[in-house]
Amino acid sequence: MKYSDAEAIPPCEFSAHCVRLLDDLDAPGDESAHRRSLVADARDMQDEYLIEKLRAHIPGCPICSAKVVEARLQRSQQRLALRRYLVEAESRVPSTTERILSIARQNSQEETEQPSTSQKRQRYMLPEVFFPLIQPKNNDAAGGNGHFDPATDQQPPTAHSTNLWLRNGFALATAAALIFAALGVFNHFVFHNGTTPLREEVKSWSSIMIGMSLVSSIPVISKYYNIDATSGASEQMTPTGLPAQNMQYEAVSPDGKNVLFHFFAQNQIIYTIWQLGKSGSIVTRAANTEARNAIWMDNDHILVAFAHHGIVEFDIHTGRVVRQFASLNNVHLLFYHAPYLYFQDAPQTALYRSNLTTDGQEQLIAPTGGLSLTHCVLYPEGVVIYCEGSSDRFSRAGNVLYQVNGDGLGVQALSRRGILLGFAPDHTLLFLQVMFNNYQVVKLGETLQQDRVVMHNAAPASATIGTGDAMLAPDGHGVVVQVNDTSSSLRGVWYDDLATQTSREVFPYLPGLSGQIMGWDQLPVPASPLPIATAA
Amino acid sequence: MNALENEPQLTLEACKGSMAAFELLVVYYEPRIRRMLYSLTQDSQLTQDLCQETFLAAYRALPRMNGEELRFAPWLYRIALNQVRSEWRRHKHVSVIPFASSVGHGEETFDDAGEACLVSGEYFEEQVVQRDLIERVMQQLPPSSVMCLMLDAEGFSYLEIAETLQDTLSAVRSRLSRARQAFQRLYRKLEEEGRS
Repeated sequence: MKYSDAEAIPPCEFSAHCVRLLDDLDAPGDESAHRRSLVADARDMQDEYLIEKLRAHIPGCPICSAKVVEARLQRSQQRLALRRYLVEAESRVPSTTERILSIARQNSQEETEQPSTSQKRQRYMLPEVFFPLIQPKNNDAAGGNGHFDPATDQQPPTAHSTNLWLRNGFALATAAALIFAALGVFNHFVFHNGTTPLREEVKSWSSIMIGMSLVSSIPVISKYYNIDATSGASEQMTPTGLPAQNMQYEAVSPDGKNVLFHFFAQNQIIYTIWQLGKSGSIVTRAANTEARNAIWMDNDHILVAFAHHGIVEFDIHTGRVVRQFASLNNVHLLFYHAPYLYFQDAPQTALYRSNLTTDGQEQLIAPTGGLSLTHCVLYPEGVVIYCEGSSDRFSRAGNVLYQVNGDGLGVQALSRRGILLGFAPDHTLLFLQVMFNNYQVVKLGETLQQDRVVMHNAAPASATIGTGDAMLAPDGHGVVVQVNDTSSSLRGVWYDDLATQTSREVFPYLPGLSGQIMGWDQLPVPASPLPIATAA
Repeated sequence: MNALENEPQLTLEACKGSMAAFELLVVYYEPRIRRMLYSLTQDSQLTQDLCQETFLAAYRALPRMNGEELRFAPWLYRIALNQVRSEWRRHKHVSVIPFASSVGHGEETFDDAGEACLVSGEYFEEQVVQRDLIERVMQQLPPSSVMCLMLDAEGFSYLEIAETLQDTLSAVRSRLSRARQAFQRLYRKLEEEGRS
């Protein structure tokens, strides 16, 4: 596969569009008409307009004409190479056709041989219905409802359990329907028009970590507490062998079981991993003027940003440097979603990402009008990022919300104000907005009209909630809200159960103490509730 | 994509429970899904497992689908890609994607088992080199870009890619264009490094 030098051709303002829309420009007329009939959004419509414009422009523009020829050549070379590769790949893996057809035929045969209704009822009572011998690979996704579309649901059950699942699911559904009908509650559920609970599963992300400090001009966190958000039980986190007084929280690991802290000692900043009740382990150390912040890559690796030594990936178990990205100096790390690292510049105004594989770097959002980005969340699949743009001008109404596609395109300011919370179990964005003096948890819709209020009173009405004062549990079951306003009589941590739409205070703050929500975790908290925190 | 000649009819019948129709769809699409999965996983055993899961998931779901509206190919590829994504999540694929540090160091060796599958002839060496280059390029591209390129190479239209990846036309255009440029850049870089 040979490539000529495309960079030698000088640019025209339409050249980039010629390359991007090449396939559309080459599409036959009937296909273009079909495509136009299916445009979904404003960008699609803009592209359609641009295609028509380019069709008229290219014949008279030698630069674009050359670009198109070049791009066509490149496209055909790539397609040819990839098709060859695919054909060759096909030969490298044995066919599975017979296996698939064998299982499918077996299922089909069993379905046709199913006994009469009375016999079926007896089969529903088989032990396997109530004591399944084969579990699906992923219990979360399968959910036992048996009604997924595998093209949209991520994790269907395994093939090995096909028969049992079909049969058990049908049996359970039938049994449930009979019970509902007998109790006379079926209609209630069919016609019930209330708010759908977001989640009813066991809450694994049940604890929240907070730091307490004395109210002063320079608040220094002196104690950390892990609080069970539902029961209010709490436990002071006292790292064995580590200087608790100057521990600084960084982040909880993706599995919620380890906490990344740093502390200062002898002009050094020392990164440590810690679990409740266990000794802390040191991952790395650096001059305290060098280190910036750190994030988790996965459960075994962290990324630490340095002022002059770029970003370094460490293995938390060995402290070994895995990789170093020397070109990314003095940045503020946000999150990592393979292969991209998302970060902000030092003043934390714009959002960038870097492909850690190819070392490419690009700016995603650069707010105008004196805004700075204060908080961003990444869609679970990495395809969309939402950010808050804040300004001193904004008051209680909240920050401007931005959206950008994971590939850096489609930056737009949403016509919403509020505080980003995270994602509901169905992966829609939840944010906190002020409406009629109340804080509401809102589910983002396609349009403003389609936004849905999930909970009306998520915080005491008199409170002032800012970014960092509210956090959604990663599995979406609830929100913790902190009221830190010293003038409020309701100071403390409040837990909003989004399934029951109830709110209650779980950790009141004593006068003279200020709190800071660190994050949700999965570290267990002993059942015995402890009283109000003290800072002494 | 060049679909099976009577695919809409076969899809309709498969949705109604016709085993014969489903078999024809499997026979036609299994090699295509298999090679797509292998291009994403580069793992023969995993590819076989995911391929089987893909078709069995489709088989289970077909009776619930509207056969008159269902576009089988994009739907089936979507299932396959979801299988891959799930697998990556399960095994934290994020940590094992080869990184830039390996580029150009000449550490990779040809896969002997793979070589045996190639036809012998005067282009043998060139084909092996190209396959290796493509694999290394794809390892360095984001998975979404690889998916786009592969669907494009399979003959999917923008609309079909958008439907498969559940994205907008505009996003697919941009992603594919960028993927082609990134592919070209990486390929050329690796090719030059291989020569030096």
